[in-house]
Amino acid sequence: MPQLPYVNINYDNGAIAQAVASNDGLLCIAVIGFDSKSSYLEAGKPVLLTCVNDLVSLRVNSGYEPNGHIFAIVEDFYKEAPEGTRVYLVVYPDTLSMSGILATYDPYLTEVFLKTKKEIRGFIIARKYNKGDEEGRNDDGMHSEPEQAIIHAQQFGNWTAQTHNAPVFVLLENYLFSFYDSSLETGELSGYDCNRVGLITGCTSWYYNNQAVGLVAGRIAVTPVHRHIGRVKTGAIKVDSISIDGTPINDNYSQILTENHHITFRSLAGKAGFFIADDCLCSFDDYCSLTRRRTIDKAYRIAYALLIEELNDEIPVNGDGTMLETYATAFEQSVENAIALNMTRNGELSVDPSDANDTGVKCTVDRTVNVLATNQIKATLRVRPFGYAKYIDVLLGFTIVQ
Amino acid sequence: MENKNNNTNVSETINQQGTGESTTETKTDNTAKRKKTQVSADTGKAKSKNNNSKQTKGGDNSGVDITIQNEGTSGKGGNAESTVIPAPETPQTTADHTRARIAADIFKRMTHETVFFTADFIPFGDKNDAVRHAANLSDKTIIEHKKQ
Repeated sequence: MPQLPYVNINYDNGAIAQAVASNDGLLCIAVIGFDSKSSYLEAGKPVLLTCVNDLVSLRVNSGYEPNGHIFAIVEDFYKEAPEGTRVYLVVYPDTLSMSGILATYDPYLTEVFLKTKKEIRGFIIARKYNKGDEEGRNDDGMHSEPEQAIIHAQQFGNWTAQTHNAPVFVLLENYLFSFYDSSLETGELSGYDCNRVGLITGCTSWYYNNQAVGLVAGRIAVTPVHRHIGRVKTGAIKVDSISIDGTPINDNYSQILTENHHITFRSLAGKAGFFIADDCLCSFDDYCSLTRRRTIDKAYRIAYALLIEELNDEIPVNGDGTMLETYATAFEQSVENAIALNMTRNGELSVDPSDANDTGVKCTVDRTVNVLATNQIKATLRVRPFGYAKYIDVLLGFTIVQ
Repeated sequence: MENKNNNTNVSETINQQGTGESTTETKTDNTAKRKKTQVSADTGKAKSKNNNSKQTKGGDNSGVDITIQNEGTSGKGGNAESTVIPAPETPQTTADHTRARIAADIFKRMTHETVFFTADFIPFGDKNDAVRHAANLSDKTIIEHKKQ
């Protein structure tokens, strides 16, 4: 039936800071310990926040309120991230442990991850201070809870990648960390070989005794995947003081914590304020820094979304069962193009400007595989990250010629 | 490329996890229980109207099912009723085992003598907190675990 010609104008939504175009910085802050009587927070139910005032509507207020620690974390988040930045908040009763909510066989953060359609790129785990919990500290100054949670956090990250093809990282609050007896030694976190897990050490508030997880989360949320969260040009983090177990942080503390793969803070001579010292994860491999982790995880998600379309597709083969050269080239090109479009174009991969064909990504299909017999395509995908100026050595002298 | 899996691996991993499946099963069981089970005031025993209904958690337990009014003060779900039932002495379903394991971990770490699980496996140390939380769930059953 013919239809009258018409003009239809629809409202587009989400262009003005209400929603971010990319989910690269979409995080979930999980807080163990909350008061349900005084707020509308529900245990295990993720709430999407876009500003601090969203907490007020949930009856979570600042100061000496029972859920003041939650307010402080979210307030810190929005000191670094502008209003409109999306972040999930989920709370659990203090009967649960960090390991407990991260366990892949229990329905806590696994449920949150699935409920939020696997959009979340990173989980930040914090815990409300309970009087007497100091007894749980080990000899190396770390509390047993985050220490035990490291392995579970890695398993959780692996579960998101291997089972759901949507990899995430996990940052744990180094709950109640203390340098014991001024021995200035702490656990060697790199020994864990957990390249999806980081530990945040350094408090902003003596009252809540919480590490500054909100500040780090806020900085991550607004930082592109290829950018170091401790980049000096980005500016100091918005905080007046950082302390560890009540003692203001100093260079010695920052040095030892960074050597031991903690994410901590530092001050810089000639620069006001505090900066994130480094973005170490608990490992020594290629993915030992958060920047590398986020870069490769983004490539993973893009590649997966593209390759899933190729499943069960027919492949033209040569007489010996190997893939046709033209098809192999087209396959490589499509993968490279997808990553170049979503990452290189955003400046998230390193490219050689003198080479017009360099996109910072290289996909290579193994042409020797007998596709007919094995039904397999074997490929290698490599992306080129940026290097980072972590150590700058300069020899300074006079230009006088003897 | 890292950790690339095909569909077969995905299915295998999901089967290995088993939690999601058991969670769904538990919720179904609990819903069935709510619909099909009545509490007899004089005997306190659960009766099933449907003989074909599945055995649910706590079904064999002769403990009294307590129906209590939500004591929440926040104004949400104030009219909802929650049913507190003791955990079975011997875990029977996957959900029973999960709760027993989580409760054992809590008793090991904390000083609680009792833990109250809502249908979504959230363990509360305080019954009122559990009742308040259950008021927002479709299944308002609360399972009480006591320290052995």
